[in-house]
Amino acid sequence: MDWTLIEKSFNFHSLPCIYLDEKYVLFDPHSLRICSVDEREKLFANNALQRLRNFGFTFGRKIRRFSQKENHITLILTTDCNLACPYCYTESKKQVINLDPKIAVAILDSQINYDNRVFIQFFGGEPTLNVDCIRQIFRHVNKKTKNVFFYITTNGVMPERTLSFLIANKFGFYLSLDGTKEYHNKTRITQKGEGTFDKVIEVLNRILENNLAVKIRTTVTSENIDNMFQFAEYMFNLGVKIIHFCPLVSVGLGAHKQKSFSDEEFQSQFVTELDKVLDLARERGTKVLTPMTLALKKPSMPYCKIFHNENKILITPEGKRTLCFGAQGEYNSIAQHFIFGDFDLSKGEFVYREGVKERIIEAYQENLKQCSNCFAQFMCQGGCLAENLTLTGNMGQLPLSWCQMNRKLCYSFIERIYRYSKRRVSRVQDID
Amino acid sequence: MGFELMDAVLPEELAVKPTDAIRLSDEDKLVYVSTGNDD
Repeated sequence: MDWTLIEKSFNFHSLPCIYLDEKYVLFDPHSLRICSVDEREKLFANNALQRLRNFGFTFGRKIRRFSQKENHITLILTTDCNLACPYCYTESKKQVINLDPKIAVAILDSQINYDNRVFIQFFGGEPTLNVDCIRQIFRHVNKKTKNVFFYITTNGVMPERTLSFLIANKFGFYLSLDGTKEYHNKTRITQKGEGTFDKVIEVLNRILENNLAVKIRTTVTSENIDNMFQFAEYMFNLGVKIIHFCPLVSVGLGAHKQKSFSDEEFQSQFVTELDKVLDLARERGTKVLTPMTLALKKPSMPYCKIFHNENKILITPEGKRTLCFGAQGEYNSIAQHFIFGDFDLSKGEFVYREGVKERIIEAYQENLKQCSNCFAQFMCQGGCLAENLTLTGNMGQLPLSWCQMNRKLCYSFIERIYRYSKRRVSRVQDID
Repeated sequence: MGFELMDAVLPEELAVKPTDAIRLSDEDKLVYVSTGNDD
C-alpha cells in the first residue's frame, strides 16, 4: 500500500476523505454517501457543506444505541480453559473462578426486562466447562420468556453430551479456529500441547449439519497470516458463511509476544491477505468481518460496544460487572480499570464503584482528541482501552501501531466500497 | 463545484451489520449474529 496516499487523506468534519485516483473521495459510513472532487479546496468552498448535507451526508457524531426493546447480556461463566493458547488475552487459569448459577439467575432477573427481546451470550475461559450453569440459566430464562436467543463463544473442545445439548436447543456459535490443520494446531492446543483441529472441525460439521448460526473467529498472528486465504477457502467450502478475522490484541499473555499490529510488515500483509479473502467472499456469497467494518452504516461509536449503554452488559465469574472482556477477575492486571459493579445478592442489585466508568469515558475523550485530524477516526472507533494500557501505560493514549494499521484498513475498505459503488451506482449528481 | 455525488453500495462481503438478525433454514427462529469486538 502506498503510504503517501494515506498521508494525503484527511478528516473532513469527522468523516473520512481519502486520496484515490488523483481525486479526494469523501465517504459517509453512516448514510452511505460518496462525494469525489478533484481538488481538496473545493470541499471547503462556500456552501459545500450545505450541498453535501442536502445530498444526505451526515456530519456530527452520534452514538448508536441498542434498541430499548432488547437486552444483551454476556455471562463469563468461568476463567477456566481446557486449552493453552499462547496469546490468550484473558490471563485465564491464573485463578479458576466459576459463576454460581444462583448468582447468575439473580443477576439476570435484576437486569432483564423479560418483555424485551433477550440475547444471552455464554463466554469464558471456555464456557462449556461450566455447563451446569448453562443448563440452569437456559431452563430459568425459558420459563420467563420465549423471546430469547442463546449463543456461545467456544473453542469447540467439549464433551458430546454438552454439544448435543447446545445443538438440540438451537444455540448460536462463535467458534474459534485459527487456520487449516497445520496452522490451527500451532496455537490452539490443549494443556498437554496437543492440536485440537480435528475435534473442532467435527464440532463445526455438526453445527453446519443442523443449520445453526455460526461465526468463525480467527485470531491472526505472524504464525498464521500466510494461511488466511487458504483457510477462508476451506471454511467456505465446508459451508461457513461468516468469518471474523481479528489481528492479535496485545493484551494478556499475547502482549509483546508475537508480531502483530506493531509490525509494519505484518500490517501490510494483513491488509493484502484480507483483500484477497474479501474477493473470495464476494465470489462465494459469504461475509468477512474485521473490527474496522463494524462502523459501516452506523454513526461513530467507541471501539468496544460494551460501553454503549445499559442494554448490553457483561458479567464476570464473580458476579461483577466489567467493561472489558479481558478483565474477568480481580486477579487481572487491568481489573481495577474495568470492573465497576458488585452484585448485592440480598438486595438483588449492583453496587457501583465510584469513578471507574467516568475514567473510561474520559479516556475515550482523550483518544478522540488525538484522532481529530485522522481520516480513519470514524471507522477506527478510538481503539481498545485495554490494549492502550498494555502498550502505552495509559488508556487515553493510542499506540502508534494501532493508528497505522487502522489507517491502512480504513483506506482499503473505502477504496473497495468506492470502486464497487462506481459500478453499481444508482444515483449520481454532478454539481458544477 | 466539480462534485460527483453518489450513493454508496456496500459490497456483499462487507454488508453484515452489528446486531444483525439473519434468518436461516429454521424459518421460525431469528438468529443473532453479532459483529462486535466483544467475542
